[in-house]
Amino acid sequence: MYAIFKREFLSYFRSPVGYVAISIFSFLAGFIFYSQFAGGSVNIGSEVISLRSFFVIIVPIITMGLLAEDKKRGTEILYYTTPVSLFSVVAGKVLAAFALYAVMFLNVVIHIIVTLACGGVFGVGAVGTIIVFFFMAFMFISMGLFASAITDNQIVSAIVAFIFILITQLLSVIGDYTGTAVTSVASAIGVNSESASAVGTAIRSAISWLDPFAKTQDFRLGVFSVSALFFLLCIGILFLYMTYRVLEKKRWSQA
Amino acid sequence: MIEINNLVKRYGDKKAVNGISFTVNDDEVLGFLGPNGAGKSTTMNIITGYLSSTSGTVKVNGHDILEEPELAKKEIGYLPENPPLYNDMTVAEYLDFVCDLKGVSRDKRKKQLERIVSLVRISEVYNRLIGNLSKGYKQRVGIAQAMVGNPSILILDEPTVGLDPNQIIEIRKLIKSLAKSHSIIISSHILSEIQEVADRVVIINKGKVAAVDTISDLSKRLSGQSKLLLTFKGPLKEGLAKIRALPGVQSATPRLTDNTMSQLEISIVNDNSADVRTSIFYLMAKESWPILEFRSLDPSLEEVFLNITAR
Amino acid sequence: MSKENNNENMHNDVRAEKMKLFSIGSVVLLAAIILLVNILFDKILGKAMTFDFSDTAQNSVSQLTADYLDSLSADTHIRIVGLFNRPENVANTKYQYIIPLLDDYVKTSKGKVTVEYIDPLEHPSIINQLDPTNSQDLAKQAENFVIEYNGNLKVIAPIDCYSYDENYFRTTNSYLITGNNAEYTFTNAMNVLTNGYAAKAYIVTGLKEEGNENITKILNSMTIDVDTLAVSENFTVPDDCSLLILNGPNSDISEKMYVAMSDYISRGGKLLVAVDYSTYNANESYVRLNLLLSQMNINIQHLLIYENDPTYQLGGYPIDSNVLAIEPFADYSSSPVLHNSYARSIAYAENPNTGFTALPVLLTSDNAATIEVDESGRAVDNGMITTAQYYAAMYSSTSNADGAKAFVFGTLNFTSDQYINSYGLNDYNVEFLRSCIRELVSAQTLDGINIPTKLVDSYTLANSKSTTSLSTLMLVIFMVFIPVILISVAVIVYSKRKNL
Repeated sequence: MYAIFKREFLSYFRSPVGYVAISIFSFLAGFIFYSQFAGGSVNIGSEVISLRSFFVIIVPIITMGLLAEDKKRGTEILYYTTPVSLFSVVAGKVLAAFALYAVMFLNVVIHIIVTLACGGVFGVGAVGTIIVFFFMAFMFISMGLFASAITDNQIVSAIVAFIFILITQLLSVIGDYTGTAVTSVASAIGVNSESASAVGTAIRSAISWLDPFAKTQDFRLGVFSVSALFFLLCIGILFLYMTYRVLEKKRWSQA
Repeated sequence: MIEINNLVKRYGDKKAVNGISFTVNDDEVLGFLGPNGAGKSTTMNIITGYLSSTSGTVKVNGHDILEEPELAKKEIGYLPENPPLYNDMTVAEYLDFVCDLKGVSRDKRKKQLERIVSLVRISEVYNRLIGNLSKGYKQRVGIAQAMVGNPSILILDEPTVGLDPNQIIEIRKLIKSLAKSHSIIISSHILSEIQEVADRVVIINKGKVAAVDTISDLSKRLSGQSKLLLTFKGPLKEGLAKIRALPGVQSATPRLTDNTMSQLEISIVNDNSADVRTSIFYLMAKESWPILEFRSLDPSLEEVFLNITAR
Repeated sequence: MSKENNNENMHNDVRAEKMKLFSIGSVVLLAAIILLVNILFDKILGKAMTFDFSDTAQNSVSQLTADYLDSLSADTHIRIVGLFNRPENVANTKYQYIIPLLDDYVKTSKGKVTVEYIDPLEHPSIINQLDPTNSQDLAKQAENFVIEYNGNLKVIAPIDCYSYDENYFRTTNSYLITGNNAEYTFTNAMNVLTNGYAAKAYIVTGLKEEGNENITKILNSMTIDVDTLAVSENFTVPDDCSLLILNGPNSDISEKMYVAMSDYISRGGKLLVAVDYSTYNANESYVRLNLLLSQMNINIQHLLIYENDPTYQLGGYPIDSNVLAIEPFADYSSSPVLHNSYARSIAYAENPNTGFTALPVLLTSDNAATIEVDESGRAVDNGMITTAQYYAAMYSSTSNADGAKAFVFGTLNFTSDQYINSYGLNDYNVEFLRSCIRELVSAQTLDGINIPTKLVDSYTLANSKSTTSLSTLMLVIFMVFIPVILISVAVIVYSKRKNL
């Protein structure tokens, strides 16, 4: 695992990808911080929350090549024919991308230091948002890694990862629309309005229950929910396991 | 030592490998011969654990590749058809990564790499980017990669393909020097290439083993079937009839003909009692048909298989 | 293809089929386990594994509420219904400090309190279910909360739960929340529903006054029941009256009322009087009311306070100004600077009654004047009297703890619907009024639960650092310098490695 982690992490810095990703992140974080600073009050928590909306751009950039490029170059054969387990390959790759995210996050650490130096507040709510940020980073990177495993084309992989993350971010909205649609369809086919809307609401809340953003929103207020973090962790692990299975499939697949 | 027993690998309805069995002994160079698409690469991928077989077993020094993959893989160094190289890494970085992958400990690493680098002679490109290396150097880096971790078995899939003649000679020398301390499986679709280095040859065709033999036995078998190409100035029909009448000639088929010359492909029976070439020469001289070209033809692999399977 | 061959194929495929089955099966199984475990975790341990680390515990109920909830019998069922769908994201909505807190009520109460979110538009039956008699007109309370206990209801609007920056509100007409009273509001509402009222106030009606909606709301939140007492021929003050309120009468009290109220004062009655000086009552000098108040050494003058000090004026209007609450009333609200408008001057009565001690409560600047105006609002000749400090409110009490007490306000900015609707229930004036009521109706009998307002985090930087030059520096460093350096490193690394 360490071998894979080391290679992937260093390869971010051997090619421009890592620097570009970090500088995009720095610019965005800097913009948010600057706008707040110019307004005279800095809420690190809301900066971190705003930064979460950029997962959709940054995660595909840093995960697209992780496995797709190996397939294209034929280097994946090393993972199968050397005594490393495929799961440690997956773990090493996800850790590398995660570590890159941690490096990016140094920007926010600098912002925190500046804020404190300028008499601002770095409260427990902000700590909450940061914890959520990293759990989400793990989850989205896992999704991106999975997207990278199912194709040997980096662009396809980036697009798939983008779609995965976008859907996750829009889960509540999707839930709303689905709920409304189901309600109106049910009414149209003659279900009475109360039970139609009950069905719609049930579907909406079922979809919204999956929304990691809704689950973790209270962290910004300093309310830490272990079950929400556990959920993020589980989804990440599920995607890692699926990635592992996709790699394993290469062995026995007869297609 | 590798024992391969009844390997089958199916892709869809097609069997890429269909019941291959053979054994590789310690410190032996085994040539793995077959035309393109015969299943050489698939078989090697199964032996190294990259693919799992549909059925059948592979045992590497007693470890089953599916049941004890880590122990089995430790014994194998593999150079696939396309060397698994990262073009964005330098040779040093790459070999260090492979050491990490194969778990070569820090203190042994430097010594081992030094030995490998001098053996495959890549020290002058050691700090260069792999993407900028020539094909021959890339191939050597690929071999170096396979040697990392001191595996007792090296599996080289078409190590000389795409190289220029000088590079081919270099690589062959390298393989010969490696053969002293390793069991090696080397695959090729060119017979002469294998003949140079291998002790024993396994020939496969259409997913099946066509022959397993030592090089000398194989040569003997193959020399029983040789062909000559003859181009002469003279009438085709008459020439054909006359040559067919010569003792030792099995068959003769026309290849090319025009107003000025005729070309024949002649199969001869190899019974050593009569030198067919001499009698052809005298025939031509007698008829005053000048010989424009007269040489022996290397049998194609397909013909070898036909020949082998025909017996 | 022969049958035999097919069989052989099937035999050969067993290993791959097994792998495929295992692969897909294990993914499906893992997904199912994850879903199940998370649902269970969320439902069973979700609440217990949620920890409030916020500095002021914004989203947790305090010990006071916990004690109150513990004091309720186990079979108590308080039902809280939000008349809207629970928003998925409460951040930056008016519910942001309410919904997480209500979740904590549920957790702390161990089943005594339930919270539901039901949109009456989607489920119209909820309104009839909660309020069969339609006494609260719940259809108009969408987006608010209803607390139901034994058929009794309390409606709570989100804004009831906050205090906010008044200046910001006055300039932008939007709320900048500064304090969180959600727990105060909800706990007291529940307390009133479960324990009933601690006292009863009567508001006198029929003196051309305006509405009493907001003061009723305030009194209710202090566990004081409110009833009205209409002007009539046989006007008497009921025995259960803990507080008698005259809120903005535009005409004087009757002789009969004077007698009844004098009797009430002699019995140790508590009085809250608020009048102002507007075009509706410019000719009214409240002779009989003054006769009543003079027993307590207070006189409502027929004079309008005219603030000359520009630092006291609000928006440059001399009759719309700040007044200062002085000791011992200075800490009645979070800020001693309060607002009055169209205020009558309140003064000491001329013939002191030694049984009562009167104290000024709200003071103008030293540079104020009083004038007399006519019904059209014009100053009457010679109306201007020398500048001095005037009182906008006074307080009178006896040395006896059970004796009569009175607050007399010369302005309606503390009690009128108009003012409170404009500035909300959390205005400093309202806070001040609450304290006055607490003083009048002795605090012990008010069994309200006084949960302090929770301050909302402020992220303001130190003034000295919040400068344009410094923020420009931030712009340059974080948006230009760092990204440019990173891009340059990328270019250097790329071009250097390219030629290795």
